[in-house]
Amino acid sequence: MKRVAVLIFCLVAYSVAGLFELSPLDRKFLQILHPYFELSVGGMYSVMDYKTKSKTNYYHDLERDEMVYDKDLYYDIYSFEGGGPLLDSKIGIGFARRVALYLSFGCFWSAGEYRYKIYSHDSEEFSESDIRFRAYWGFGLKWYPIINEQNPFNGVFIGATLKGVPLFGNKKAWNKYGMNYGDTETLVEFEIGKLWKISERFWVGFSIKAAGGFAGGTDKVDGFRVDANREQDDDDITLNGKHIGAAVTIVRM
Amino acid sequence: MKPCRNKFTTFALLAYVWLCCCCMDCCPMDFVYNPGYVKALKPAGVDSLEMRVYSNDSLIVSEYSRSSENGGEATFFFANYCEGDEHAGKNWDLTIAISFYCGDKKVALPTYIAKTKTDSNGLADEVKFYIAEFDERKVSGDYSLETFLAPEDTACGKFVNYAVLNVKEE
Repeated sequence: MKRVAVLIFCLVAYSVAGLFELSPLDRKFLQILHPYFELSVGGMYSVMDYKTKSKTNYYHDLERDEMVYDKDLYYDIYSFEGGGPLLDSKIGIGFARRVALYLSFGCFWSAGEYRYKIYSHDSEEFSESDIRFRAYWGFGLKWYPIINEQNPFNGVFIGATLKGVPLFGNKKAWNKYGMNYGDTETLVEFEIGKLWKISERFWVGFSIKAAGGFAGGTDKVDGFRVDANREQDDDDITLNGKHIGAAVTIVRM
Repeated sequence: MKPCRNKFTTFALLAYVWLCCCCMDCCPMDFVYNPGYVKALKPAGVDSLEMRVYSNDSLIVSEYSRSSENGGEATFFFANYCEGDEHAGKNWDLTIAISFYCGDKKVALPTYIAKTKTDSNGLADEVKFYIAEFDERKVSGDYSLETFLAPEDTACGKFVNYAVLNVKEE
């Protein structure tokens, strides 16, 4: 962590130094290796599905008071659709204004309708309005294939970022229905966009983001337990999280 | 000086290897061995639970759980009865018979045969069974569902989900 802080400090210092008078050699060097900063503000729309596959395939049918076998039994079923604002920042190193390697920090939140079912065979479904907040950090790569002011596609880019995401605001179902869901997520985000040069170093444009997520769980349970306040293993929780968004992007490189 | 030091280093190395070999041979049994067991968890709806364990039709142990709270358990350790040189290399079929008590009623559950075997050192397998009311959403860890032991007599209530769980890892 200390090393990352020192790296960020160096990049910031280097960038500030770049605002002042530069020697021809520094100027040449900065053409090849330069700091890269990016800030995006926009919105993200998320669709999520969680469900846990039963491994015993037996459930207690309370009406008949019998244990019933169901080979396609799932429980703790949850789905969500909703959107909200996003804020993303990237800091890193650029190579000849063509490629950027960066660390990414940011957040986005999703407000919408959450739907819950205890078991897959249940007809009863619960719904709640709730907000899920994601703060993330990650790293990635961005490629500017065309840097040529004569070309109308000057400033077009594509990028990919791998993010670790702790999820907040997912305890409502836990408290109300005794359901447990993943509280961390690994997100792979792809970006495509276009920037316009507004000064020697600053570019402004838009980006379109699409991401897929895989949930982790709460901390792995240590050993076997029969417990009313149970927790689940990471392996038991599956997630299909899909996110799509758009943002206004400002880049300094 | 130099050859002398080399000799000492060689000796120390040999002594270290010898100690390691000795530990490998002697220690793991004492430190790593975790004997198998059967734990029967008393449902909240009954006053007490009795677990009897038979081997070759002879009763070897009776365990009770009279705890008023759910989670009270009766435990049987294989190692206390199967372990020892005289039992080395044997297969054990232990019959587990559980009864619920409520008021003056005694309700017998179907029996379950727990199988284990002892190795050449006379140590029982690390088989572990939980017998408890089963709700998959409230059970965590690595296990498999063996069978249900629902009593036919419903004098103490219906316990259709009372089940034997084979615990893989604890």
